[in-house]
Amino acid sequence: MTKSSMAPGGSLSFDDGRIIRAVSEAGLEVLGRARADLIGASLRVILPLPTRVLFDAHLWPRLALHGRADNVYVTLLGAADRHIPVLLTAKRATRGGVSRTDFDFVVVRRRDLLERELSWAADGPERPPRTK
Amino acid sequence: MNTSASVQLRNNVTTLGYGPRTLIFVNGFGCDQTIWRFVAPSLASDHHVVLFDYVGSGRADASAYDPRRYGSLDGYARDLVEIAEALDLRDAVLVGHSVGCTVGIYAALQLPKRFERLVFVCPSPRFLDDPPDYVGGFQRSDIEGLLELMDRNYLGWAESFSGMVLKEPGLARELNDTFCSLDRRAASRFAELTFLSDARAYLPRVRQPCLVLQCARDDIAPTVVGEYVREHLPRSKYVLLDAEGHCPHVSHPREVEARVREYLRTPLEEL
Repeated sequence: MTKSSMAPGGSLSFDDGRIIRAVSEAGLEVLGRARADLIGASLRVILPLPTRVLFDAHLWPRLALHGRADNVYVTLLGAADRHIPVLLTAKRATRGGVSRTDFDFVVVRRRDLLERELSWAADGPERPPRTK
Repeated sequence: MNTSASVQLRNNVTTLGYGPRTLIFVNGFGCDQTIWRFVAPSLASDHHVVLFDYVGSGRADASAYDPRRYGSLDGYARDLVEIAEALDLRDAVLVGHSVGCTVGIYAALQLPKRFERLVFVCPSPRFLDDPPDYVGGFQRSDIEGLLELMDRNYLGWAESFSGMVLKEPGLARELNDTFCSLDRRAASRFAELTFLSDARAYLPRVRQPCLVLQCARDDIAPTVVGEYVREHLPRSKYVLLDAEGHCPHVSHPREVEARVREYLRTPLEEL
């Protein structure tokens, strides 16, 4: 077992073709998936569409420009299409001459409540109405 | 009244290079002008390049954010029009990405003589499906999920934007913090405008020739959308890139640059 596979939060790595190459034991546990289902699969199998948009439009450029993005709240797609709220740190790395992107994530179910309170407090009465 | 200097300050207009032709870059949702970092400098070796930030992103003047003006994409297009006028652009090439293409369409329709030709990178005139005839790739619940996700990222947005607003000491820190930095509230509203917009009716009115660069595997603007744009722009050239994702100017910058250069070499009368 590698050091990363024993980390308390989940972690996984994927290549520049967005193919998953490694997943920690904790990551499998968080996602409720089998290793064989993820290794060699596209990253999109664990990203619900809203997360894919945030990843493509914001996270990926930040990673390309800055090499890392910290503390981003996203949801991952677990077994049976269960949405799992996580706090994600993403980092670009080169190992053995090969580019990899590493995700480290911890489940943060209560962060939802904190973020909601912060948003409401910050926006106050000027919060623009959502178009429904 | 806005002066040239105040417009440039408001939108953090930056220019690179010299050349007989001006390229103005209009970014999409999720980032700022730094997203062009992998293509703009090399194109600036023989072109005049103009970059800017939308108000509410990057180093644009955050105090200029007016919810009424920026309550529609037209407000962002007005900024682009004002930049083009402030710089007195003539026969420029407008390079847009994603919703930046829509903003570019609105501006190009207002100022046809200032933009000679267009380059659209992963455009989408409408992200929502409109059955039975139009597939945008998204359902309303997807958009609501994205907006919820952004609302839940208060701490993340604050972290990426605060370094720029507070001007914390240390150039490296400041530069790092302004990569793709966004004001949370402005970004959330811009996301809403982006993903609920519908510019399909404007496509046939565009008179400038347009190069459409489409990624083969793009979840945000799928190929069917790129093909729609190609079919509805009167003078378009469509190129399908063997690329994953929505930002080929980040993931495949040399190919994007080559395609742009090839298009710019083509005489206008042949487009």
